[in-house]
Amino acid sequence: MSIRAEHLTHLYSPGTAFESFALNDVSFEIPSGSFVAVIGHTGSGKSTLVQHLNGLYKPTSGTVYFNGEDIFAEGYDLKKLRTKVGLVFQYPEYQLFEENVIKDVMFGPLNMGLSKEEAEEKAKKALRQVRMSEELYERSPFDLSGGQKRRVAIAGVLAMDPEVLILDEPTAGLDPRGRNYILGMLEELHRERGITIILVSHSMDDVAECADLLMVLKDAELKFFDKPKEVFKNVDELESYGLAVPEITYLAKELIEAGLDMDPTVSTVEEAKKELLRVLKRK
Amino acid sequence: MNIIKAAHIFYDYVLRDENDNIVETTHALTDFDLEVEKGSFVCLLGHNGCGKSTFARLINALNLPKEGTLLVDGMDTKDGRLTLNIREKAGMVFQNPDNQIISNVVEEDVAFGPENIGVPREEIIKRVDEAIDAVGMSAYRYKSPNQLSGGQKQRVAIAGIMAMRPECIVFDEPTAMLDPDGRKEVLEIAHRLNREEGITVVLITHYMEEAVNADRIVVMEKGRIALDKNGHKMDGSPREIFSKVDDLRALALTVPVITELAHELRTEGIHIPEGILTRTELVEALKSYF
Repeated sequence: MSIRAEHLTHLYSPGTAFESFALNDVSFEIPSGSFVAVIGHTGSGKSTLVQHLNGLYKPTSGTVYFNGEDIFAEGYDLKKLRTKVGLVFQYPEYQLFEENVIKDVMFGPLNMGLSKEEAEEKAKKALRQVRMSEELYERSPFDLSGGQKRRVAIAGVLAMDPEVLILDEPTAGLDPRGRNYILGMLEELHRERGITIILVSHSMDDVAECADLLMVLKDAELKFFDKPKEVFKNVDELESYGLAVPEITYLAKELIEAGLDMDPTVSTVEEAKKELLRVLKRK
Repeated sequence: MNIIKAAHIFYDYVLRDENDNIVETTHALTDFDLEVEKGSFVCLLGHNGCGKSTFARLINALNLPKEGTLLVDGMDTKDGRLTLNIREKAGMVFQNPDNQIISNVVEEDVAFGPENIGVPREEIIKRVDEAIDAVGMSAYRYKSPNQLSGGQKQRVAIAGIMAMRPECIVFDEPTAMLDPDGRKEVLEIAHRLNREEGITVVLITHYMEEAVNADRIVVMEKGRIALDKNGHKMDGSPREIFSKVDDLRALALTVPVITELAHELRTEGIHIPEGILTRTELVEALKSYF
């Protein structure tokens, strides 16, 4: 049970003067049940990559295996794949369209051919999972706040019971409360339902908190795919890619340069606090 | 000298059904007072729905207060005859770069504002030159805005405001839709215009890190200026505001991570000052320990 990409290559405008790589020979395997963050500069290929994973984009060469099956093989049921590998686009709230919240979330399950009752049940379950209160089910999605709309849009994908949930910058433009809410919700879905989460993000700080694997893209190539801590050790390379490591990791680096003997891989406030107390109190 | 003076402002959003009956009233601003010093860099922080964008729209006379008075450089926004003067005086930059560009060529876009208010041609050319230069976009002046990055588009939008020769620019979450590079670009321009051109900047944001270099931070909650729910008024330096870690947490706001770590270490008995804002400061403060 996994998603495996093999030599995935995608060329934009092949054969013209504008030919350029969107993905260049990218290979990896995402084990089932993991929480993966995909990070990279704008234009590095992050969004292009994730749209291959549910078959929205076809690669120029190479392929993707879902649970061992080649999704680009002749006759593979892509429609079914898309219910198993759910994709939440950037600013998904712009895609809400129904007259009320519950109908909007039911759209996916109904499209899968479920009965109205089943679809409603799935929708309610999904809305509970994104922590939308029941009073809002009959409201127009357009009367909700930005963070609420985004949760409804995520529920729309969750209602199809995906095994893998891909989210393209789900916290962009949200305030800290909205951001924490979404990240907390994803961690819960991952922990309690065992859903594989693939999170495209710009924020190293978000990633340090929640991901167990980190994928770094640069100019259409996969540069790192490892535990966040291991990746954060490569401060200089990451900076040359226009990326930054978390603030706390920078701090550790500066403290070490100032002469303190401490773990250089701390990346969250909690870790740094523990490590600093250990080191400082010893003296 | 104040460029913006808000006194006892009330503003409500009213949701009506198809028969025009009021379904819901939201109090966006409640007895809100704020004065902004000419030439200063002020950051408005707070959650979505705290009233910060409502206030921004009042400054520009896009909305009018239900009660209370808002003066922009002494001009009352309720006086319809002054609306255009007020908008010249206080320009506004919004969140979505794509919604603010109207022209096919960068320089034409920048010229749109002054053309609209009847500035003579020679003067427009001069203003556009200066404005494009001020935001560092001279190399792109004949390009199409479609080919620009989000951060560059925001800079063009800022140049369009600059060409109106404002004394104040209100930035309403100008970086929310940008990547880290674009965010940096736009912030640098805002600080430079403040420092070098003496423009008053009101920056609305919820990125705490963006507020660290402001002269003053104003925290808003539920339509009022608040640091805590006891109604304490607060308008201090970033150091003063961010030293109130527990109060900010109670408002479900965060502080910059370095400030948070320093605060945590302090509560564990490490002797360092409250209100540390940067890595360098924290390294210095910890040096006595090793």
